[in-house]
Amino acid sequence: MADTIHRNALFVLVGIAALIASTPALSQNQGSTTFGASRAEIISPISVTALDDLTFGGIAVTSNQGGSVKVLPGAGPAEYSGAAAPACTGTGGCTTNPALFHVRGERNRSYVIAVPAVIYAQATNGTNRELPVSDLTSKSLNLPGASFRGFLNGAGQDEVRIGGTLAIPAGTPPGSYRAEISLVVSYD
Amino acid sequence: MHRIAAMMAVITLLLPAPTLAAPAELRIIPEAELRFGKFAVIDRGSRIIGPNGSVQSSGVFSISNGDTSPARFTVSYDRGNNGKRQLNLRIQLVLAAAPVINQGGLVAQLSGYQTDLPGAATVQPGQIVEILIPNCTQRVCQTTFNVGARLDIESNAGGGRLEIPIPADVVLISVK
Repeated sequence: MADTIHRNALFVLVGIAALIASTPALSQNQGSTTFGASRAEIISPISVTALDDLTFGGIAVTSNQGGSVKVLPGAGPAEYSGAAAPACTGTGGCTTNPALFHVRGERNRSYVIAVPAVIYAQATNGTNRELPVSDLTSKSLNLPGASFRGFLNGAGQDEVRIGGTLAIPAGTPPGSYRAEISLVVSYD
Repeated sequence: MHRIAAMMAVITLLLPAPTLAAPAELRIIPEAELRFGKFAVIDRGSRIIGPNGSVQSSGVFSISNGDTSPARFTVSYDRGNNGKRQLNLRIQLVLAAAPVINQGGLVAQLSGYQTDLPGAATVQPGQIVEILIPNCTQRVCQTTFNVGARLDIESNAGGGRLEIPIPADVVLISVK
């Protein structure tokens, strides 16, 4: 009888031991939380706004000889060549100035400037005459030493001046001529 | 009584190590960030990074290449002992909704989780995804998976660097 009792006790103990041994993980409620990260860098778009026109002023040429006017993107007087000479009478006077653009974008970023090789100024009186404007050059306020490049300052701003050379063929009729300059700026 | 005590001692000795070792532990570990890269947004736009690294953009202008990648997480189970018994683990994963970030004129929202887990190509925030780790015979068994998502950006002014957390929870459902 005592042996029977002992065997039963052993059986119960073995049963308990087996239960404990076989289910170590199930007896716990386990979980974990973490925070992964996602990142993005958003760049402020670069934009350009025209503030002032490239102006060659009033120019006179002779009927049989053409000439040209060069307006620099920086400081300095316009350069006249050939038969071209400033004509300070008329609606526009003879004041010249480079085109002025305001560039905005990401702070402390450099950018490149693209302009056409040649643009054509159309007569505003509706005739088909046009005058070529070539040698367009740029000057950035924040990066004055580099042509066709600029730099956005700590406020994300810059100013760009565009100069060029207007050719006036001989026999060009008097009138006003106007052209649009397509200026493209992009981060480099 | 002496025989019973002796038997108990033997049984105690025969018990495998788990009852004396460290508790089992389930962890989820962020291995890599979800990188949306550098881009410009005029007004609003979005970018989707797939779990395989694919990139889809709408209304954004890329500034650079090669700076995008999915997030990577590892789910690790440490049984707490050096037992060799084969375990089959069932784990539930939940990727919770990420907070909307409003920062310096930018509003950013993360949505549309994607994973490379079987049967869970797209995952809604709060959706339960089951992860199976079968035939675990080592002390530590783990599985790694990638997570992609969609980032919507609304830009009112300026730019900036954004960091959006991806809340991830795992719960051990069963060990067999």
